[in-house]
Amino acid sequence: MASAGELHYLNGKKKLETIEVLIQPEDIARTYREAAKEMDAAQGFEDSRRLAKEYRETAAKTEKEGRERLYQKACAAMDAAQQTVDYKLAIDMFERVKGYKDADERALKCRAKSAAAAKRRDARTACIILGMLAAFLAVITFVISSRRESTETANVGLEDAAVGSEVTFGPYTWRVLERADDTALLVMTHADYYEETSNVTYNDTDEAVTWADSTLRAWLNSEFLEGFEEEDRAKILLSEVKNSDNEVYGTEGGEDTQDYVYLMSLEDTETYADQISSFSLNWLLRSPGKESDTVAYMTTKHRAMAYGCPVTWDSFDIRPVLRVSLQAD
Amino acid sequence: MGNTAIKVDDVSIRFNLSKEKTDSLKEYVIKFLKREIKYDEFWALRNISFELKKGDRLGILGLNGAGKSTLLKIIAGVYKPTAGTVEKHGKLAPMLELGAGFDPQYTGAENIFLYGSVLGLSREFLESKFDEIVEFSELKKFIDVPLKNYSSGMRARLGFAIATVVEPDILILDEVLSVGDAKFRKKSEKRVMEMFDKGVTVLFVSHSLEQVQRLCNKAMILEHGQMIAYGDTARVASIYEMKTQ
Amino acid sequence: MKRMIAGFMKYRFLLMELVKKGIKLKYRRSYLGLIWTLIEPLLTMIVLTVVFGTLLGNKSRTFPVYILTGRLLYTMFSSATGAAMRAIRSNSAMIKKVYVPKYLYPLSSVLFNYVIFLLSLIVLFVVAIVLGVYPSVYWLQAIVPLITILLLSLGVGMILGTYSVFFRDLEYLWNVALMLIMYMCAIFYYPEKLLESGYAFVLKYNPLFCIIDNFRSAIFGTRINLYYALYAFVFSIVTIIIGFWRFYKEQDKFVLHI
Repeated sequence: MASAGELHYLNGKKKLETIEVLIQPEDIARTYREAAKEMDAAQGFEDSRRLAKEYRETAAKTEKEGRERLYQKACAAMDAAQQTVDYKLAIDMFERVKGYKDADERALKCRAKSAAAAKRRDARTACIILGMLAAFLAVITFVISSRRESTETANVGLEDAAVGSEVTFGPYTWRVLERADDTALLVMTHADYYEETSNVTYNDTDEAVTWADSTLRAWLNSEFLEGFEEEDRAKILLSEVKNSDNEVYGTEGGEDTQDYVYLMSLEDTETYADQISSFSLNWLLRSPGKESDTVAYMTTKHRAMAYGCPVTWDSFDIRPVLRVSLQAD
Repeated sequence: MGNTAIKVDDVSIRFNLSKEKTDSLKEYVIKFLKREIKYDEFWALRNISFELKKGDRLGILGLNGAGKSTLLKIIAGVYKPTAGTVEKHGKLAPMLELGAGFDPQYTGAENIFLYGSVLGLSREFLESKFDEIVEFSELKKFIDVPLKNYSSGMRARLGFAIATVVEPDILILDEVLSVGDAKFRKKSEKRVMEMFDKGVTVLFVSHSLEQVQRLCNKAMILEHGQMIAYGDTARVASIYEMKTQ
Repeated sequence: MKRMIAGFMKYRFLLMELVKKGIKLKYRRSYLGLIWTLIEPLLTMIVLTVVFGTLLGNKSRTFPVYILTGRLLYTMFSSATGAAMRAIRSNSAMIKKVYVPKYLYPLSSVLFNYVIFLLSLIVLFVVAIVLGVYPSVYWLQAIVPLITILLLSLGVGMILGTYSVFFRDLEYLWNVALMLIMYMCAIFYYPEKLLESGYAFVLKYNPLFCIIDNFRSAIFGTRINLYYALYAFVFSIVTIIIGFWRFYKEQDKFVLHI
């Protein structure tokens, strides 16, 4: 039968087994002290008194070492800290060794630095937001001021336009075919965008007709012109239009005319081949086709069809041609 | 070094959640200007360090709120630690928050392929393992049903089946082994033991000390975000017993 | 940088799965399913043609094609940016459970919307041919606006995706902004009148308009405007840089807000 002292002695030794897996110095020190208490209770059994003293010393040493280690770690963290959260980690560690060396002062210093870092971060955020607002306002100002310029350049554009470029005139867009000093010859682009120039017939009735007496010519030079503003209309010049016969089939072209607005002829499509090379759509010309009740046209594949189509066909577009004066008013 | 599966080095994480939910721009700007943004700040984990070799099985014990799930999420990569580093080697299959509910609108089968691709697995590999997964989870009749119609137990079974069949190097389980009926619990434990023999490293959270003692060779106790004990299972278990009396 | 590429390669299957998921789930609950991608633009085109064409006098034969080109691009932009904006929140289940490079979520959202957009181009192709706008060499130019729209959607999507995690009302603000943008794109009216007036800047500085206008030029067989193309491209690259930078900086906080 083991004596009471022996039991306590064995208990004490057993407590030490758990120290292997303990992590926190406080827990380790406490366990040593508990083991020391058991040794006291062993009342001199074997070397219990010596062990009691040893355990208490180890407990104190462990505590001190633990605190020193944590203190050093906290100091290292404080030195390496950059953001508020790094400082908070250091503060937490210093508070765990409260009262040890100058831990309390360091903790205070960390708090101050952390507050300063927080202020810096807030200031940076505010700057970024203000910066974005400023950039936004700058963009709006720039854009609005450039708008002023463009109202004045609306007409200058026409003057600067070189052959082959696109300009706006009236409610339509045009390509410049020819340029003299003070006039430009224009042909309409994007003809299929506009109702007036889509699905148009050359002549209302199915009969032999030439450019001069076609209903299209009449319409172009009256109602079509009404779509333009007064000051634009004043710029459109009267042109001498030659209507030659169809060179492939010999069909009569009719009389030469004087028009404000007209269509290109088969010859024109060769003269201005470069400027119209990008046009697709099927669009009517003013030259006659094989028979007198047909009219020549251009295909979507940029080919001139001298054979022509019936004058009453309405599935083709037209590209009006006009000459404008470029003199400023 | 070549044998290390996971190395957690001085990891701490601090949560900084604002006290009231300001998720509208207007509120945020007003509060910012009036300097009224108050935060709930606390350290969920502090100075966690440990290393697991290949084949180790770690059981993580602790009361609720001790930081167990947080630690697992950090290791799985869901959270980024405020300080410290985590080193991982090999394919990691996480099973957190009960069940592989990756997309509730997707069917079980579709979720299998989705989960697998998350681990970087090709479609061919997943197709070859598909039947095995369905069989283990005993969900053959429901595999083409959207996940939102599954019970929590079914979801756990599917998640566990996928996580184990895809042959991971590291398996992370958050209290999953204690879910489901007795039959499934036995089956899942058996499967986990099979993986031990293959040298898979396992981390799992459990409230059952008895289960930890049975399955793990190492254990850890967390308390208020700090490691209280770590090492041989038997010794840690005795400390835990003392604490929970 | 090398790590990023290696990371991307590891997750390429996931990116494909996420894109597939986006497409599959988009129409899962509807009866017509994916066919709806073809029907919806058709129906919108008919309505817009009737309203802005017949009733307001744009009777051009090819007006429906005109509308469709603009409308399809705009829809792609609005769906992609909206989906990217919601990407983090709608994938919250995955984000809370497993690590995945988070930029994959908004990226996959933009990509799956792009795939759906490419499918809807079939409608454009058919309608164009029926109405007489035939394919030509100029159609090859369409590659430029088609790539730029993807970049623009990605950049804007990343920016929105980052901040909408923290501020939910950004979704409503963006919907209003989208409406405004739609009117500034000349989708159902011709831009000429606006371009020659003093308000041209409204169109010219809108990168989406530049993209749409170039796409239309390509389809209708004229040369695209290189200034527009350059402006839209640079704008897109800038948004991508800003978007990815902010996303990268803020992504670790996402999980705390979803």
